[in-house]
Amino acid sequence: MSTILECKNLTKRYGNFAALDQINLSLEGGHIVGLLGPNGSGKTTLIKIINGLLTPTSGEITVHGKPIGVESKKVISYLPDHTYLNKNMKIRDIISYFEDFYSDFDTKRAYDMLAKLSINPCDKLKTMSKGTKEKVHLILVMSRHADLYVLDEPIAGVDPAARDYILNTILSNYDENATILISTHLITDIENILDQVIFIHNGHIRLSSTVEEIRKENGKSVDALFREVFKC
Amino acid sequence: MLGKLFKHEFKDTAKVLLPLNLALIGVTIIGMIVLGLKIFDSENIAMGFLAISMVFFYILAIIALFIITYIYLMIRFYRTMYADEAYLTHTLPVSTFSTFNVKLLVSAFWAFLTMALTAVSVLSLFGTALQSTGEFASADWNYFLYELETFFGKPMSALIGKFLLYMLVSCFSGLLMIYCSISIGQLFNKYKVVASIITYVIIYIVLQIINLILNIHRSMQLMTNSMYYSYQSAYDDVSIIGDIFGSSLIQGAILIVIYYITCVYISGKKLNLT
Repeated sequence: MSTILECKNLTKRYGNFAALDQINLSLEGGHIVGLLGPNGSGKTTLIKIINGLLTPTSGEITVHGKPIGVESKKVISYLPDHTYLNKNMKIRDIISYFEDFYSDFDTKRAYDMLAKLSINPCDKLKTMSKGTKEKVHLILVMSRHADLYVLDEPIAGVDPAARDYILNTILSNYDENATILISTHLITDIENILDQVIFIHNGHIRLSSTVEEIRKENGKSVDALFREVFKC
Repeated sequence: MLGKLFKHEFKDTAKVLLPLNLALIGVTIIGMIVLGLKIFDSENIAMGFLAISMVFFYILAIIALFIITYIYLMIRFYRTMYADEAYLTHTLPVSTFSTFNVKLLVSAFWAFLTMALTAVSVLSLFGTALQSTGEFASADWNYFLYELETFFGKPMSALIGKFLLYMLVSCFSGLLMIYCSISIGQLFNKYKVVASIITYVIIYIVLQIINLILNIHRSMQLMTNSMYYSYQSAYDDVSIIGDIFGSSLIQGAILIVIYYITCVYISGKKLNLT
């Protein structure tokens, strides 16, 4: 598999505080990767840099060998950790917006997923519950045939049934050559779907390994190892 | 992609700004009809009070229209470039340069349209009011235009052209000053909105000081002329006002370039969505 994402000595500072410090990372295609770490560890900062929403202080980051820009945005499908769409828009207008800008957007898939959840495309986003909004966001993101899906805390703050739906949607809608980078601290819920994990803490990568290696070498689940590494 | 950006930007802004401008057209038409009825030419005190109230509310409505338009454009720029909706704006496969240009051009279109419609509205109502009083015939109007051309020494088309150019420069410099302040505010890690407001106030004060220094000599001359009024001093006033007008156009153009470069640089190279 070819390398999709590569970070070399990536650093992001806010004044004297280093949110990311000399990160070196490489992600290949066809994997589901968990970006795991406690709150404030640098997960969201890294994700924002990948999506071009933050400018790194130093270092290099490339997607398919190219710097972050128009080309990288064509192949990355991003789910932020909060509502980012205009709440006054109707779902069908948002779909038409995505259809216009993302050539890999699958409109039929989006409408099918909405129909399965009985979500009316004529409804405005502001009329929906938090859980439904999260599902709509996920449907939009997973309706793209992207090379890299970057999902920031997709299961935080939703009930267990919604969590199951979200994880199933992720698993059943991504291309096998694509990579999914999921940031979360709810490890138990997603451990079973992960191929690889990255532990991040205080802006440093503490561990980058496959789930299989962790289980083999440590004799522990990812959740147990996480609790051990990040013990307060 | 540029066409799609324009399409969506127009569609979104039109939801708020189109009804406002249509309302202005509606108010103008109703005002012209009411003035055409010649109900205010009597010496009835109640009708006089009604006429004054209508003029008062018309002026208030025009001021409100400008305030709402500019505040809406300002909030929309902030929300889509640096707040929650910026997460979508900046992850679209479009360069930040294109995104910014489209936002600026569409905003300038609405600001210019509002200015132009206001000018047309005021002139239409003024013209209808004069005609309805019967004190102003078309021959008087032609004489007025002739006098205006003679006084300024320029044909009416040149005067209108200069006025439109001034409106255009005002639109862009006004909007870009707001966008530039918002962009500079985003460079701060905390209190970004407060930082934007402070930036705007600082830019405004600096510009006022520069204007004062540049125009102090001309202003003094205008004051002297007003004390010793003559036909010659009136011509001198026109020349001085023309100089102030010309220098403010040049100043506006320079500011547009500075604001524009600052905005494009910050949104493209220093994006800091926290």
